[in-house]
Amino acid sequence: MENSQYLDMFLDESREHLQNMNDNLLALENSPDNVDLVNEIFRSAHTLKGMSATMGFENMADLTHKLENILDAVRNHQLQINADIMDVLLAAVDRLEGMLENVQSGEGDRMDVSDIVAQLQSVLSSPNQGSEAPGPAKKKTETAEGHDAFVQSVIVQSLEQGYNVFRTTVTFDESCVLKGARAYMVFQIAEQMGDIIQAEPDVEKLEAGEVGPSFTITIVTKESQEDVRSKIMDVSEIARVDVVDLKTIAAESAGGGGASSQATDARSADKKPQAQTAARAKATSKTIRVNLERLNDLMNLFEELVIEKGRLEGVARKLKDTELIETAERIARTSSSLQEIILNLRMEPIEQVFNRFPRMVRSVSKELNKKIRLQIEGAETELDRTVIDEIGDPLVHLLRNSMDHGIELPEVRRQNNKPEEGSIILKAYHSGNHVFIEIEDDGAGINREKVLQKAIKNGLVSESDADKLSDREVYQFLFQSGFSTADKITDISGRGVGLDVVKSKIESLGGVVEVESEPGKGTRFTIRLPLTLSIINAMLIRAGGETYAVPVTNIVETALYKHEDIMTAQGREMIDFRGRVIPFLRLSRLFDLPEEENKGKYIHALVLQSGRKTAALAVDQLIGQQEIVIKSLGTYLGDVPGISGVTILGDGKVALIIDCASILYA
Amino acid sequence: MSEKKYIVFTLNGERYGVPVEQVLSIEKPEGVTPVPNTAPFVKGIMNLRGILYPVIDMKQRFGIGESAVQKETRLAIVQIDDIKVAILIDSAEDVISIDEESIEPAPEVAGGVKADYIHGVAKIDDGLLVLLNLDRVLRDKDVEIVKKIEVNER
Repeated sequence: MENSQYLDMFLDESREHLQNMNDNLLALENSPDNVDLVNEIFRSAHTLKGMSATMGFENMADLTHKLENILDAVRNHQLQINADIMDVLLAAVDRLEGMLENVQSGEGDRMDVSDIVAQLQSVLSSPNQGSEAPGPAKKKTETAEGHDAFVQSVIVQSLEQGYNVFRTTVTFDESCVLKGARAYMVFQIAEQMGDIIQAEPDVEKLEAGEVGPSFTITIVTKESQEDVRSKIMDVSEIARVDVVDLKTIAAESAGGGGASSQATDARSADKKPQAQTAARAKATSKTIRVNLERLNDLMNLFEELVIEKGRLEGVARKLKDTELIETAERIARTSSSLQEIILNLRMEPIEQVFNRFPRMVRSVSKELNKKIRLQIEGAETELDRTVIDEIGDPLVHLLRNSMDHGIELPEVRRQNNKPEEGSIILKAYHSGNHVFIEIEDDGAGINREKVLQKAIKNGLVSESDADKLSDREVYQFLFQSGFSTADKITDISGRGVGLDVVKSKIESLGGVVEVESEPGKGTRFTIRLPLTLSIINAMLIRAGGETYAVPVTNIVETALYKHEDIMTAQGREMIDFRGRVIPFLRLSRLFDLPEEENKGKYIHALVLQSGRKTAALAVDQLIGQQEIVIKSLGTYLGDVPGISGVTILGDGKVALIIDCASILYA
Repeated sequence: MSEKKYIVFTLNGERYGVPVEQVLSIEKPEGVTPVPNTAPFVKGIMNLRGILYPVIDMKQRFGIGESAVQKETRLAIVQIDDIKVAILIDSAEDVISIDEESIEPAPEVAGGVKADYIHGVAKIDDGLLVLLNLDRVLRDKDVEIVKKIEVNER
């Protein structure tokens, strides 16, 4: 398995190419005559074929090849794109994705694709297409109109500028097994020496390993005839290299060197190697692929640094040494710049999640017999890698939900004076320290009354309280577990399927999800996520002799209350907060801590908010704000109610981070 | 004859052993932060050189009393796969080599500890050494149940 080291790269790149094919296929569906798109898809398919063949995934290569044949026919106008062909093409891409997944999970690329292959074949042999087999036919037609002249003019020009032009025929050793690989090596050497302006058979075939006993390339170079020969000879398993200097025969016809009769698309022969080099350059210089684990290591080390920084600041304050304080401040500044960079390293555009939705919307809307247009905005918005990995499923849920229960059937929409085609807008954007993702549909909206009835039936709210609830509060019921699965028959309440899962997933990422709706007009789900997950601003407080951290994002304000401000209602302590009565919680009681006798006149409290809930939390003492690094409680303890994690303080002691959502909703 | 090294410590005067490779170090119990809403035998969590370890009272875990932190009380820092914990012990004694063949199967109850948690019993010079199966102790579903109950009660 010497290929294994390339497997990750193969997976990544294949995925990109498949995505690219997907996107372009969808675009092609809307503009079937756009040959550029077909070419683009063809290129991706082609690269994919080459890569999978190299990696030894013959089934993938084979299926891609079949796919390529169709694309080839399309771009040669032998085949007209229609809905059926689209379906087959998309299905084939799906299979490829499936194979790739299998490859990733170590099962190899074996998969029964006979059905899809049969479909692909039948597309090709359908009457819509010309009689000839498409592959060889196209190139002749395409090149006939003067690319020979192009090559010729390049040769003449190069000769005029003092370059040598060699027609080089490379013959493989009889024992050569990996001809494709050898050809590739020859190409590389030739590219180092100059430019390859032509190849026979063409580069595409060579790359795919479709090589006969020899091949011929035309090189423009400054090197001498002998150097070209010897350098190419250096490639092992090559029996012979014949280099013909075209200068000598240029007098007669510059193109006589080989351009005239060959079926090569000169443009592509000329462009391909360049495109290749460009791709390679991209891989080496512009971006590098870094294992996420290494980034995590970097992050961990940085977290250590932040803790030490805190310790240094503490020491500096204690010693009151100006120089030390200044140094500590400088370190603090540098480390915050460093933090920004490190966090940015982990950021990736949400595009890669959004990318798969057009396909999904297309197929689901077909299933549902609805017309739905998906509009994506802000795909470039960047999110932490961890979030990117996790956010896909909740978004799928929400989109399906909007398609299934939001958007109405075309005839219903027509009756309601709406355009037949429903629209879903998927939007991502940054705001403050948060990333927002919105899913907005112009469907039927949520029926407040039905949700309320259901909530009352499920005992979530009493009938008398029901009327007092705001719309937002009512809609939050949708996120209750099992809220509507039991009652799918009603048209609206289906809107709860899996929404509790969505909510808990998003909360586990430190985010919130909200829903707004206007009956008849549509519904909007808004997901708010923190930008970073591991370093937050927190208020340190003390209670029961221990130090705790409260995320600043949950704190509305700090407050001082008199003992007599506290009211009791139904055995629960409450307090007036700007005209609203909110629960008054005591951390010492929530966490079962020894209560300190409060002899003072006032009680320190934090007014906390999470989602729709607000409450005051009494503590013994407020220490101050600090940047803290969130660490998990570890595998042994797992999830502990009321605690979202821990942090290590400057003095090395551990402080628990209070999970405001869980104490407010408890 | 294959010998294996064990760390010997005491709980309630009884001697217990765990394989050396499972014990990272022996520390003094300092800077333990209590964690609410956990099982009673979880005494809290501590930071040791940047790594966090839940602190477990083995006596409470085994149902043979409760540890009171005294001068001799130590923490055995234990790691088994991804589980890292600090175990409260009355005192750390020694490291000894034990011949695998001399290990007897666990009796029903040894020093009040459930047989499930015991790998075996070995005779040493002046008495018996109970060899703990920490893997079992730390992964036991009891812990899960304890956690679940607490969550449900809320």
